[in-house]
Amino acid sequence: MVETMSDNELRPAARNLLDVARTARTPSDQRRERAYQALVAGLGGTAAVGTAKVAVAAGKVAAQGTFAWFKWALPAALAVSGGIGAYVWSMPEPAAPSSPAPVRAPAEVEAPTAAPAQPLEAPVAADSRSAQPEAEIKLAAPSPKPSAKPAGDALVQELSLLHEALAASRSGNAARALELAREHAQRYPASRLGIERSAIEVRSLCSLGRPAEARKVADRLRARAPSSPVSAALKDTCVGK
Amino acid sequence: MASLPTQPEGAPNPQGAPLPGVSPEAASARELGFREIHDAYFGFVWRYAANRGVPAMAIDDVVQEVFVVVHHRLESFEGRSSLKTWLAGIAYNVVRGYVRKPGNRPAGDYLDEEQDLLAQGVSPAEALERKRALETLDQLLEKMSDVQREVFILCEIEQLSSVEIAEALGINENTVRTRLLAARKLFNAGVARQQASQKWWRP
Repeated sequence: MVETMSDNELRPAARNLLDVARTARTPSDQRRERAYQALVAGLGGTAAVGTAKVAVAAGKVAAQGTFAWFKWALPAALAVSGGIGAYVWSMPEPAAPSSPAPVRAPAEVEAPTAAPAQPLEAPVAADSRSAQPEAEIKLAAPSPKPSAKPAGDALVQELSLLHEALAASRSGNAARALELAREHAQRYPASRLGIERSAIEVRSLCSLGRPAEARKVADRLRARAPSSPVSAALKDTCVGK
Repeated sequence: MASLPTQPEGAPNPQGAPLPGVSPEAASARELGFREIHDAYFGFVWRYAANRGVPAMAIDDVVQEVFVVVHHRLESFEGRSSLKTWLAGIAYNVVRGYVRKPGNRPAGDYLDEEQDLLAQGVSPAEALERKRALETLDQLLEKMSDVQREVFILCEIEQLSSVEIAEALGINENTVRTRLLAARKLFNAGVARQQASQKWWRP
């Protein structure tokens, strides 16, 4: 039976293997919850982003446990302009009991600018809808916001650059991280992600053995955002107090 | 021609049940909410990233990035495709961006996955079985071309239909089917070889 089955379909043994692997790779509810909290904790004050429920959820879980060393943030200012987000950055720490899932390198993702929305919607023909249950989970077409996309895309590009800097820093290439952070400063002098950029700069300078420069940058950062978690995250650097 | 699955997994909600009676009318973006979308599709995105070769310790970040993009793009989603299809396309692009970066795709972190499995409360024997299944899966996926792997994962593991895959990847449905058939052949052959090998070595 199995031997004569066409290779056009998966054989039972192959199907079984996939079932086991699929189960093995399905994250637990706890992991999902942790991930959501980490995500939303970075959404502090995002009343203008997404749905009302997001804002409510953000309020509930803000400042709760997040990834020890990395999380996204979507500051209100970015939200208002339709922006995508920012990094809040801190050094790797030992896994806390409440977040056993180890997290390592940053998702060094190319700018998702070219990816998501438009190309995904484009190829969908009107009559090519799937008749499947999930296809019913459709979102109502929102009112068009023509001005939001360009701003969002610019922010995605910014994020990509900072992401690369962050990855370089974490991989031990402080010189490259510093270079990228300063490139970001040049390209986006008025960026709303300046705090995150400065944090990368500080850590890179510390790693390069340039504490005096690091301190100058840190002082500016602290003056600009004294209560920011980014500032607090610099405690374990050469400028920590 | 082999039939393609017509029933997707039915994204589980936090309790593992299908999303409660979501009709197209009731499932507007504002009603559904980002939380529900995250909970319903977190497993899908996480598994997809893992199967696409994102190392275990980076998956959380990649998945998070996917949902940040989802969050950002939600308002511009026009509802012309299913939410899952739309989300699959985002995941496809974000994950592809990750795995294409040089140095971003080390060998499988099975140790981490094993620890994860044990943390889920499964027996060591079961964990071992799952670990072996994952190793085999990854080995066989590795033998596929990128385009075959993409289609195979979305269809055979994530249970998207060929139409949905075509929409998500922006390719022709016939192309999806062609790639899928080739991938299935590779996978069947690989599993058969693995089974034969196990029989040979088994005392």
